[in-house]
Amino acid sequence: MNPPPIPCPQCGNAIPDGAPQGICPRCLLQNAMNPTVVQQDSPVPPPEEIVRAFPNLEILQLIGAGGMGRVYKVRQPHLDRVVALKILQPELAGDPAFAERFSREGRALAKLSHPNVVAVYDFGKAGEFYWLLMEYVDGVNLRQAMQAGSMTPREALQVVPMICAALEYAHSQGVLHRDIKPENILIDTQGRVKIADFGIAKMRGEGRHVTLTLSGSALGTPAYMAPEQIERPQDVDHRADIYSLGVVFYEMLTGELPLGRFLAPSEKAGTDPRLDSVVFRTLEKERDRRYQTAGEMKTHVETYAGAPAQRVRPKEERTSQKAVWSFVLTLLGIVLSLGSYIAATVETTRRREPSAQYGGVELSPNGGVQVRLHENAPVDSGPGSPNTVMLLIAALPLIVLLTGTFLGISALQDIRAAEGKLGGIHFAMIGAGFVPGTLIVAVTSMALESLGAEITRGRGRSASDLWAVVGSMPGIGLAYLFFRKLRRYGTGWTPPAAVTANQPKRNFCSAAAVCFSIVGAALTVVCIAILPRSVRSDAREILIWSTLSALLIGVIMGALSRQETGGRTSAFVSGFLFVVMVLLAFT
Amino acid sequence: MSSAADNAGFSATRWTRVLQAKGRTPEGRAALADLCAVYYAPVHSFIRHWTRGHQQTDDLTQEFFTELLSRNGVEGADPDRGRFRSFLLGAVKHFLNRVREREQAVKRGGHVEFQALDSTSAGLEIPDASTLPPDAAFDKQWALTLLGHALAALEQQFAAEGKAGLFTVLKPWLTGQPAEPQSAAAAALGLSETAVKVSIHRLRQRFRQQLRSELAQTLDSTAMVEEEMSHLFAALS
Repeated sequence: MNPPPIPCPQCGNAIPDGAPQGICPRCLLQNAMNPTVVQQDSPVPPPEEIVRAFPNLEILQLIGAGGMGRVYKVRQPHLDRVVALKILQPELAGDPAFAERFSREGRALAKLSHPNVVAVYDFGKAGEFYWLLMEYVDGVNLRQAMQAGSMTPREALQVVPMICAALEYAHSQGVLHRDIKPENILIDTQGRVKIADFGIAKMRGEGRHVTLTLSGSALGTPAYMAPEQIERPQDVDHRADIYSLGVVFYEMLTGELPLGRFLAPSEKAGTDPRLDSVVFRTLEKERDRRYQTAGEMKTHVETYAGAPAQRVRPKEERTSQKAVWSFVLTLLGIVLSLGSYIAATVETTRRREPSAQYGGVELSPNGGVQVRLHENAPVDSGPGSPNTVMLLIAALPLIVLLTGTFLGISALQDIRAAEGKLGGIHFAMIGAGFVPGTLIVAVTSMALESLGAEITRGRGRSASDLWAVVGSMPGIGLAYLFFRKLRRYGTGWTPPAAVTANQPKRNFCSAAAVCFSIVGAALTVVCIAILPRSVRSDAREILIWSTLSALLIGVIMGALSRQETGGRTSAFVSGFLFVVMVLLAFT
Repeated sequence: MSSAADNAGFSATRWTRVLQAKGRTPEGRAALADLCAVYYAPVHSFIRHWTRGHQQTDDLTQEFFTELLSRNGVEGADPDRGRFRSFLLGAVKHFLNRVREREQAVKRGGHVEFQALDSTSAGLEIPDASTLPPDAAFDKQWALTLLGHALAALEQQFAAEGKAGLFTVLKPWLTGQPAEPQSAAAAALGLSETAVKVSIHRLRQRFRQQLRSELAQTLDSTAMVEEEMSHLFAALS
């Protein structure tokens, strides 16, 4: 009567009847009890003295509390805007040098204006409170985001360049952060990254008397601090921020801190091994061996963000069953095709014997096409008749191959969605690409073969085989590009616009442009060689039009791949030859 | 911060109002009726368990609530324990024992009594006592009802904000890390994966708050929320 209970995908226990919305109630409740996430939104009434100290602000709620002080979400009624009010720990006021440091740093912070830096609007002292009024970021911090689900390498590669940009800007303004950690990296609801608390560490004066033991209580964890920041805090420069960012980067990629003799991210989490060098270089103990600027690090990270991911198989990866099946079906399809070809040949020979030929398409000597239906051709017929058998023999391999293709496409989508947790990309690629790839080769080969036949016809000797082989070359090239495209799709790599602008990297359009330009140029040479002589008019037209279209496609593809050097050159060459061809053909 | 919340927030939960009024004032009765409306399901399933079928279940449940709400006062509640759940379970057990006594009396031809049954221990000594479902079953149903209610309330809030789609897509993440990748959810919602993480965090936080406030309504003190949650979690295992 009842369907069998479905096990919860997470805890494996059966989901009981009456579970709300079919969700496992155990996991639901456990997650709601999970104490690791601090409850922040509960409406805590602000202490009376804060309300009194800030009569011009409407204190909405406490949104964070940490070693530095408390942060409130507040409204400025006269501006009708929501901002964040940070109140530094009252104990700080006891330090005589604090007031001077606070106003000096505050002025430097208020000058910072960057899309990835939380802006400081104002600062000052009210009663015994030192306060900063800052931009309110509607979102969560990176720590909370990591708790909401582990970061994919792709996300890390999106976030880190934004942090680099913020650091590069702040460093150029002479401001160090000194406390880069996931809690200070905010992400808004649109996924934009903003760094908070620039220079607050310095305001607190930790730069002068922090020690390992003290920092444990003052900063939470020294795990993000550069070695020199712990050993010689007075001697810190911007490269300490780069080290801290390296720790954050490592944590995003692997979910763990780089403590002791830590593994490379590729060994630990199966990320692109070329990222290892970036991470290791930011985490160099000697700051002279680190990236010397955040901008340099940004460029390197973006290089790898742009290049197709070379993933190492993570250990938990399993091979997609669909991909394997599509590969097997493709192989089976190839074997069946060969079989049916042989069978068809045998069948045709057998049938030719009694009544020579029952119909066919034939090129008549004067160039026209003639369809001849023989009078005693067997008109189709019930099941089991020779024609049905032929049809089945021909259709079966086709069906198997097409099933393999569709399975392969589906497997590619699965692999892409699994983001590296599912293997078998090569199987899927072959399965999905075999039929289209073969078609590409066949079409180009046939096209050039018939073209060759037309050209050489007038001279008596036909070299159609040679033409077919020559014709398959660009086809094979195109098929190769097509397979690469499939692989990129499967690995989920998309070229970020910013990166393609900086990195001259051949993409599909530029490769196609080069390809078509070469074909066009070759055809142009043939045209120049042949056209002055007397050639049959239809062959002439075919040649001219195919040359023109190849060149035109070369121009279009070159234009589409704007920034690519290869594409641009091809576009120019194709365009030039196009003009030459037009002049040659129509004058 | 949390202690401030405990002192200042939820000055009077529904169950506190019931207890303070001892169920005698109209406000107290209204609060009790509200609570009963929410936790109808655990009582119904407890009675269905007991009747081993459903012919009488609806009638008995109806009768129980009518009696509970028309009764003047909630003296049956143990104010020390301060939980509506315990009160309701005690009341329903008491009610079923009285029903059994009534029916046994009828079966045996009226007033013939084989055993002296005192009102408190009666349910435990007669043979039929094995049919009383375990408290754990009641608590389990209670937990399911509570979660369902919190979830529905949250869904309604999202719908009111015009974000019903967001709720539906991200709901699986309320239980932790589901098998499907976040990239699929991101594509479905047209957000970046990082933005989805922000939304998931928000959703969890709101559900947590919703659940706690629903739970607090049945308790006399918000300090008991954690304890009650662990108890219900154990009941679900």
